[in-house]
Amino acid sequence: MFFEGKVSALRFAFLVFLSIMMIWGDARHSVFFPFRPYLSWLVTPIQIVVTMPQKVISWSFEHLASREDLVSENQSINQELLVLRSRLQKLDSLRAENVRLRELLDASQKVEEKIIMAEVIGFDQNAYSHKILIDKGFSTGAYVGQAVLDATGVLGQVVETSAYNSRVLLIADASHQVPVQLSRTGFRSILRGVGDLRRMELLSVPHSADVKKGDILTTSGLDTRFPSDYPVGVVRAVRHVPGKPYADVDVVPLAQLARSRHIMLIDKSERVIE
Amino acid sequence: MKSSFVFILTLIVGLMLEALTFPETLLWYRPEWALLVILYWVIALPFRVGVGVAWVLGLMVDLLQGGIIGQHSLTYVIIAYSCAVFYKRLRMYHRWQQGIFVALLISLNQLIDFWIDFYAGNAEPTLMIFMPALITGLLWPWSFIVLRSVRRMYSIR
Repeated sequence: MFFEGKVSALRFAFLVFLSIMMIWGDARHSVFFPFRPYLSWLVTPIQIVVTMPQKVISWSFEHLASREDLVSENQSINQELLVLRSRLQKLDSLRAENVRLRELLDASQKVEEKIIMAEVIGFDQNAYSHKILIDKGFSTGAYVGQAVLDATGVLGQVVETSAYNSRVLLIADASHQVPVQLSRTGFRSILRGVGDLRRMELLSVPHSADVKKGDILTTSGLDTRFPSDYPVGVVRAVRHVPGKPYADVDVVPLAQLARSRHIMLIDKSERVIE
Repeated sequence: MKSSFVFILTLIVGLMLEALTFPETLLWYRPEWALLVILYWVIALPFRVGVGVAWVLGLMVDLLQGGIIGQHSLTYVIIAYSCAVFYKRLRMYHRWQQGIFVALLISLNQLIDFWIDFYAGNAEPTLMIFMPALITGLLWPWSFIVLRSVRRMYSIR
């Protein structure tokens, strides 16, 4: 308790040593990984209190909206629904055709994945890491490694869960890579985040590869985490620097990494591959 | 009893401010809330609040922010210890001078933070890491006044 003489210096040295061991263990060997869900119980009350005002505000916006606003919103949603329905009709016939063709080829068949809706309640306050906090935890079926999408593209994957919250690592984080495929040519590569929410890089693209500005990249499904054929990004620029072994390919992520509020967790355990 | 409850409450408020989401563009201008609270208590009650409390608080911040476990514990312990060593001198200082000292300490905090992030492989060198130190130093006089009035009101000793 007292800062006199040896005791405090010893305690200080011990705590510094302990912390360094914890950092080393966590960063290099993930020793805390199995305990994090239980440790996070300690801070869950604080998180609940802090996210309360935001929830109250969004609830009151939903419940205290004016009639005209609701009517106009309803109209626009109905119109959108109509457009999507007409597209879906086409999609249904295409899907049936696809299944027939796959049967002809004896190829594997995919079943749709189960989806959990979630809301973004915050993002990581460390400026180096790009993670967001969502309001679904393992009590609602979220698990580590689950792929996360928003309305426009792949957002990231769950890296940490507690009972009521999860943390999602965004695809643009410098430590994240996702295997992708060019939808135009089928060219496969790996898309790497560089720590910038508006720019990503394609790894090891030979100068001879057919990659153009405007090409859409989709998940290739060759990893064990991301289901295939979800859009990830669009190629913004291809630069060929003489002397460099590979071309520099800049990609803009399609998901609204900084702005999305409503997101989807894809439950891959429901997926059936025959 | 009541006074120790209020003391713990100030720490919890510090943690809540730490958990509060800042806009993405202003992330570098975020004050180190929890450090503001812990440093005040270390200077005001050096015989009761020390490296142990700082360590626990750092661990809570790590859990809240989902970072590397031990990162904030380490920096908080180092900062709290340096403050505890100088507490007599710090009490003599004017509040603005204290603010400068706090800004220097938090620069150290930011530097160690950066080293750990760099070691873990997710940091890019930028001078912006010292911005929170400046902001926290500027906030110090006010947080000092608020926490001192809390301490006097509930006679926390």
